Amino acid sequence: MKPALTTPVLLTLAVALFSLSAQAAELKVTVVNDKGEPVKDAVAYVAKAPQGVGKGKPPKRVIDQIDKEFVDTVTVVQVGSAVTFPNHDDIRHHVYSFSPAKQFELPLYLGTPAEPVVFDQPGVVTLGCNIHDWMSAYVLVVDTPFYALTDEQGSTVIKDLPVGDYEIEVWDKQLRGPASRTRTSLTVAEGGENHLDFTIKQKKLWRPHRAPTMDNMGY
Amino acid sequence: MILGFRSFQTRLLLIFIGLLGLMQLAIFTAVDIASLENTRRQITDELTVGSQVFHQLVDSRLKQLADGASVLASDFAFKQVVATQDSKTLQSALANLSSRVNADIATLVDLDYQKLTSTYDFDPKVEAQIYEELVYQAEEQGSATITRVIDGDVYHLVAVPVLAPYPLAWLITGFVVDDGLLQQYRELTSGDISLLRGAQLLSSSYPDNMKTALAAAYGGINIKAPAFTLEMAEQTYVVHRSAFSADIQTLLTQSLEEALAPYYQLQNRLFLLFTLTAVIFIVAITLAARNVTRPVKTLVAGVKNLSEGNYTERVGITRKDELGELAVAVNQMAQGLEEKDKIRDLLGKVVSPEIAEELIKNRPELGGEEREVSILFSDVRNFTTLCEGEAPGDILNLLNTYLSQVSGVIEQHGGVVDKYIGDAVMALFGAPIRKADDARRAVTVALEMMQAVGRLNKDFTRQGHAPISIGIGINTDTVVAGNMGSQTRMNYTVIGDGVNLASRLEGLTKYYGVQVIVSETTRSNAPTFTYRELDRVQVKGKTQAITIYEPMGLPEQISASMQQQLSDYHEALACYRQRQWQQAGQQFQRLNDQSPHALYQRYLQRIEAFQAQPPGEDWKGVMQFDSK
Repeated sequence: MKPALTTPVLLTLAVALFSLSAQAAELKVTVVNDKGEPVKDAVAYVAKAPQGVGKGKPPKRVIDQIDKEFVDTVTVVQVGSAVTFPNHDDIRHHVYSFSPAKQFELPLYLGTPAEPVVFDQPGVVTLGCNIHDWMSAYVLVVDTPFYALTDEQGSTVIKDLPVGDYEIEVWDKQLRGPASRTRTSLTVAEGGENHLDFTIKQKKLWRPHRAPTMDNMGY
Repeated sequence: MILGFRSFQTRLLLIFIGLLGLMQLAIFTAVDIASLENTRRQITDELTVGSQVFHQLVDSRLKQLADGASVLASDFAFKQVVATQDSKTLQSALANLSSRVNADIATLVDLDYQKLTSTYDFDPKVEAQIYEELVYQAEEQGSATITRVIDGDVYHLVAVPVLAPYPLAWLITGFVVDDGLLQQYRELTSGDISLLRGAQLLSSSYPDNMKTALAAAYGGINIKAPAFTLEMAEQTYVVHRSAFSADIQTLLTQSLEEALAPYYQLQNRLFLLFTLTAVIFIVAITLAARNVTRPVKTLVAGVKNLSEGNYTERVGITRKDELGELAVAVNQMAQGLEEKDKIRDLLGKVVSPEIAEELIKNRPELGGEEREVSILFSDVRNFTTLCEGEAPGDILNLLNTYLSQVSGVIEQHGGVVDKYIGDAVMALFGAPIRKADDARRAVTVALEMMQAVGRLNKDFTRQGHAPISIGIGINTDTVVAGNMGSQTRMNYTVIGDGVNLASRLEGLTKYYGVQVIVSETTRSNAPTFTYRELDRVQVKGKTQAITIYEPMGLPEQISASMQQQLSDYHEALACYRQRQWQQAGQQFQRLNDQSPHALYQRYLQRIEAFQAQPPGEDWKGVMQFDSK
């Protein structure tokens, strides 16, 4: 699904590049935890960009429910994105969020709800299903089109960054403390190669197990 | 015996009762030990199970609480309320939860361990520390429980997350393990439950006074084993200890005395039973012993009778056991003895008792032995005269009276009547039993027989009978004593020349006009008496001349005039032997004039004859008797 996800981003980037400047560069990011292990599904994103960079109408997004799981478990959207939650299962789901960045509730539904959910504030939104306790997913709402998710090796690349001074942050669902603590300055020069290595502290993430029985409800 | 058992019966009783007592004591002790041990083990087992039950109950109570809390925590509306953090709504939701799951406390704690709201507030510092510790554990494990003493109460707390779907907050619920709860559980644990931290009693199903006693008793001990006993309130308690939490102990206690109550009842019954058994035993043994001792006593009496010489009595026991056999044997023995006694008695009448004894003692065999015996012959001199004019029956009566008298005298002095020959009596001194003074006794008997005859004659005269006079001859010599006769019929007697001589001497008494004549051997064997020398004689069938004497009595019994007379007589006798016929004749004449005596007259006759025709040169004063 990644290509499907990155296509709109690249399109946006292309528009931006053509409208502002022809000079752009890549930023390679690696994220490891304090034990030196690579962190997958960490998000590297631009927290502060030069004036006028990365503005534009955010694209529409989709978070599927397949086989009683959210797909993907980590989704990054730009502020103002409208997200639809298509249900591919033959049973109903009840998607909700009590997160301060976006509180919503899609009461029991089949198929795709008519109205998408618009994420209009940056922040972390935790998704749950009131029917299935183990279903959980994160939506990171950022105010930039420049972001990327790390792969198995904890590596990712933010492409087509226009030349200028940036501040880069990393967020992970297990990150201990606020993401602002990871904020790092970066000056992008023309034709230069840009590298940033992040080491983050992780906390244990407590999550209910799938298909719980009556006995292992947590104690 | 040391204890002085009086009888077989008492001893038997004591032995059996002693044995019974020992046996019963052994049983009693064994049962006592077994019961005590058993009861203690049983209580310990009960308490061990009770302890498990108690902890199960507490766990299940906690689980119930956690379940209730979990249900509430997963309620969508509750999650919404938590998300909104509406304090008042939260408060009422917790109160609702508390009443629903019967919790004593419900608290909501945020992800930073800070209390959001609670149904009960403790000291802020204390609760903050406890909540942080509890939630920290819950973050690791998904949920957590903790046991804490807060304000002296034991709290069991459980924390579960409020998930949306990641933890929004932690819901903590708890209950107090207080006296009421323990009293409620006590019904199921077969023992009183107490929670202690060290010696501090936290809660208990006991009333207050027992709480104090338990805390005091438990405070002083240092025992590692889970089960032990404690002395409190003057009773023994079996205690089972288990860990309630890291620093709190659960004590389950049960009174040993109370548990032993049924056993004490049993003990009483046992004691009663034992007493009853003992009484039955005593009665049974007494009866049994009496059953044995009564015939034994009868037997003892019977045998005692026998030993006293009473052989006619019989033991009256008719039983078929050993005692019966013994009684039969005793009776047979008595019969045997009776018959023997009869024989002895009869024998004693036929022969003298001494000879009878000798015969019974030694199997009578023909043959004898030589021994020195003094033989006494007596004879009623005028028996024929006596018989004249008397009826034959009367004669026998007179004779028996006389013989009884003289036999009495003989036996009185240890003489043995050898035989009666008509009116004559032959008696032995020195056979079958020899004594040192046989001759003396023989002479004494002769003298006493004279006196007896004197007394007898007084009676005879009074009854109109003629008086009797007897002659006695005594000789002491070595003769043969033993059983004589045939194999089938024999007599114990003595034979020999000495016997004949005694008989001859008796025959001479009439000639010399004296009553008793003893031989020279008898005289020398019985020298204590005063004698009158009668003569020197040569009896028929004898070549040897012997001197014969008349015993006059003991010297002190002889009067002075008699002594003079004896002296004069012996002087006259000496003259006679020296052939001084004239002088001897004068002296004998004088003696005879003074007190006439046949003896003097005999000598006067002889002197007259010798003066007419003197004897030969070889005459030695010996008188020869050719007749018997």
